[in-house]
Amino acid sequence: MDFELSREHQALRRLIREFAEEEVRPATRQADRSSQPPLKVLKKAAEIGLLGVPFPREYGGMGAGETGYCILMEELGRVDTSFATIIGAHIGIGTMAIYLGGSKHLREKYLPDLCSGKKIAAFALTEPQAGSDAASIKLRATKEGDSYILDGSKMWITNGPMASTMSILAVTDPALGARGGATAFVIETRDENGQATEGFTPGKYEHKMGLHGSPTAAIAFDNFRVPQENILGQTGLGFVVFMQTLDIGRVSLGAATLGGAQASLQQVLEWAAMREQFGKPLAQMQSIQFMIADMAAEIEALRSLVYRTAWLVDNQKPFIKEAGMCKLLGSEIASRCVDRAVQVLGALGYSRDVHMERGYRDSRIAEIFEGTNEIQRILIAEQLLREVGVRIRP
Amino acid sequence: MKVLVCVKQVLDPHGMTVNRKAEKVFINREEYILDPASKAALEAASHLKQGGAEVMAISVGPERVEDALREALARGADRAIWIRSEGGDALVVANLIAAAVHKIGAVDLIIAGHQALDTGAGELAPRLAEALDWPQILGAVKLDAGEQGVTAIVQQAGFVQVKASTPVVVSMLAETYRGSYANGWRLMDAYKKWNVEAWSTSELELGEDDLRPLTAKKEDAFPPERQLGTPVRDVKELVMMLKREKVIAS
Amino acid sequence: MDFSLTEEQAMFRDLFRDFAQKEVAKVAKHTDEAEEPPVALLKKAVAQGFLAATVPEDFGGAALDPLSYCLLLEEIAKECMSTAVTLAVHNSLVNATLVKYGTDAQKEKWLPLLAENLGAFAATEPDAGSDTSRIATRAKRSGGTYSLSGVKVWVSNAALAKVLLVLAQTEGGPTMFIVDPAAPGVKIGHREPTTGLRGVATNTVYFDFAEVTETDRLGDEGAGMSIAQAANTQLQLALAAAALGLAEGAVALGRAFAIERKQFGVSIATKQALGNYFADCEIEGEALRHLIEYAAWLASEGKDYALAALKAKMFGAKTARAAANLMLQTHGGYGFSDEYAISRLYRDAKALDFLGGTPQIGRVVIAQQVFADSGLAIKP
Repeated sequence: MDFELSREHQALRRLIREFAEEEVRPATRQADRSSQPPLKVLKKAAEIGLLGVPFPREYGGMGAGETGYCILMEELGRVDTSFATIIGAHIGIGTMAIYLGGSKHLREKYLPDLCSGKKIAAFALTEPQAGSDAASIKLRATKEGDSYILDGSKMWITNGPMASTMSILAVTDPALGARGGATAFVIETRDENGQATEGFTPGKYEHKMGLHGSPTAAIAFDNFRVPQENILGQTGLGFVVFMQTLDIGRVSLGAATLGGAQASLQQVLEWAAMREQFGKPLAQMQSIQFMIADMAAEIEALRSLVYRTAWLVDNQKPFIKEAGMCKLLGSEIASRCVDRAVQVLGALGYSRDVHMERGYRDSRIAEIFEGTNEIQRILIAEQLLREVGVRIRP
Repeated sequence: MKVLVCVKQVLDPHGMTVNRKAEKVFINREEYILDPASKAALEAASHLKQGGAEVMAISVGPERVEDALREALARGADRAIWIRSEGGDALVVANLIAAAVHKIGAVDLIIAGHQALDTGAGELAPRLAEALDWPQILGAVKLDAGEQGVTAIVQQAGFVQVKASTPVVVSMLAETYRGSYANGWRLMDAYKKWNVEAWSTSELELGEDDLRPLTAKKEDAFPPERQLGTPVRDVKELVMMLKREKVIAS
Repeated sequence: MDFSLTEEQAMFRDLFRDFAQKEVAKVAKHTDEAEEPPVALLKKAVAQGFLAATVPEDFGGAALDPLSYCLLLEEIAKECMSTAVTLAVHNSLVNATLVKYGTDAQKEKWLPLLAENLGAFAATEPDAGSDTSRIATRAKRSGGTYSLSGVKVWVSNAALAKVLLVLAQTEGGPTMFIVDPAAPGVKIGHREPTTGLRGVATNTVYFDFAEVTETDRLGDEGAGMSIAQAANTQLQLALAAAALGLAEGAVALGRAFAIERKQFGVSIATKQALGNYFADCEIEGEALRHLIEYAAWLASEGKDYALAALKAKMFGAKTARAAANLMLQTHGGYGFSDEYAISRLYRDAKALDFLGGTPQIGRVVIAQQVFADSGLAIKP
């Protein structure tokens, strides 16, 4: 078994690390304070190819695979969870659904602009009554000639305020419900000038505890027309495309949490070496030493899990269970690590002038979005219990 | 115009810690990066591509140096040449590169970093210019090229504009690097599609003397320890401290 | 053993609950959003005697017994932790310290002011967090006057305070002083923007040769550390009570949400995983309550309650944080939204991991107690 990343992946990591340190890090504080995404940084990231890392070159992507994408998310997560979330929603689920479910024509039509960052993508699934219970979505797509008409709303849409291309799941056959009666579409929500397209209304901006640099909003559709050729996957089987997309999205989310955990460990190490109380550096205290060891061990385990799962994806092997584990473990490890990092700072860790404090507020969402950790546990248990002949439901 | 950029790979300082008391440098992570001054040199060369220049990158060292050269390709170089050698001192490296310049032929401009992170010696550019018998412009903050030759701005008790006809050797200050990152697509191509030309020293026209280093390292020494002051949070606290130490009147 | 509240304590609790639900609840959200202490509410608290909660009647105080005081903070914290912490710092660090260590003259001079205005306690410095022995603020004596110079950080209530208790080094060792923040040489500096407790004004305070007469020295020179430690013990019990209130507030929010929210055709409250969260919070909350009651009983008996207060506070921090965390998780995505109160409780709870001391130091203190008669030196 060769556990080394390929040389091009190592080179990619160096490139992204430089970018993250020089461009992303300086912009995080302002993004958090103003609740505005750092658009200039996003543009620069797009210019060097970061907005299409996993997608094949033929569609304008960088062709670095799931492994390359995990490296991207890890390096961004190491510096700024908000920025990583913008990228994650754009690449990992918004564009990914089009890549996984779209016909060659749709891929050729939409992927190049998304990979070049000319357009930003979003993934529209959640509704007020459909959170964990994604199957109870109500947004309606009614067939009319060779189009569908969308009516309804979605909420908690990352990149909602700025995306011009969205992957969306709607009910096409209410009698069947989501399983068998929902269809996925790629839709255009903003035109060349960034204006909302007809029938699309960007809605209420969500004010959140953290992740201020990643804009989230509700969105509404009223008589919104989408051509039938924009169906992702097959009519009625949209739920499959969307679940597949969420599955693969969990691997890179795990990578982002890995980056955050790593940054927390670095913070603890540096602070413990420097800060003196009771006549010695904190690093000389066993409580701190054990904290460091626990963090490092968890991070190492997570790292192996994430990159092995990325390898499974890149080698077309089954990965769904492992992907769920990446998200589940990653989010909880990151929460524990950032908590320790803030704890070691004492009162200082409670100040919003301090970088790690942002990490504390930002990282909490990882245990909730992309499928709550309760759902992850159910899904993982479901797969394992199926092996012994038991079927379970959430 | 044919431009040759000398790039250097150095140990990543983030992987090192210095214990001042023990006067030891610990290499915790042996990772290599492209030297910042080399990035500045590549950036200056890329700028010249707009005027139609062809940019080649060259580096001397063991196999790991290939990564630096592939990064150079990603940063805009059209061609990359690796001289496989353990190097030696700056004189040897200069001789190797000079020999390579003869082999490449018709090089108009050589751009190097002025000082690298590891030694900070700043010797490559002047020694290279001597070996080639070319004029040299050292420590440039800006570089332009045209029909007549090159124009550089050099920091020298202020700023001075220097002109030279080609061929010429120019060294760029590391601080001039404006953050033109490697291009991701080019980086993938650099590993999957393009080649780095590998040259051994036997392919270059060099005498035995050319490969003999002029200097031998004796030891590492630390500069005398600086007396650090007390950090203050803001002006209010500074004023209070000055009053307390009776530097200013209360 | 009789675990029930006395009739008076039950009456107080109902009074406090009423006040909290009628007055505190409605300003909690705004206080957090505006990041301003709830001045109007604090005036109402003054009228209720809450700013002199444990001050003896001879000095015009409400003279609450320790448990009743804990009940006050618990009820307030259920609705607004910022208000609870403001009152805890004021009553436990400032008032109680003056009552315990002040001369009659000092009590007569300062307690009436504190019945209507906030007090603050300045001990922490940039280099002296857990390790108070490192304080560098100096009080230089010259005849009957001391000249204070130095910087204090993380001083809660500083911006609104009319009385400051300040720990400073004198030739005789660390000493506590009572300082008027309006006096020349005292400057209120930078306000910390915080994760939570945004309704508590926490500032840096500069002492630029501020003069204090020896009549305002609290206790003797060199007595400062033991006074500070006693103050911290008082605060720890108060914070334990506030922590219980926060935990209860979080569970109330989570419970209401879980009943209301339906997914997969049922209230999520019926999902076993969530039921487990509520069960765990229930157990810990109950254990915390008993720790508080025990510590409060020791205090009311005049016994040494330092360790009991520490244990209650440490367990309280853990319980409050766990409850806020689990109840935030119960809210799902809404838990991350500013529109729902739970994320405020989550942010507020985190402060309990350094207010009144960190769990790291707390464990050292308790370990020292465990090995106290072994002759071994247990050090941080």
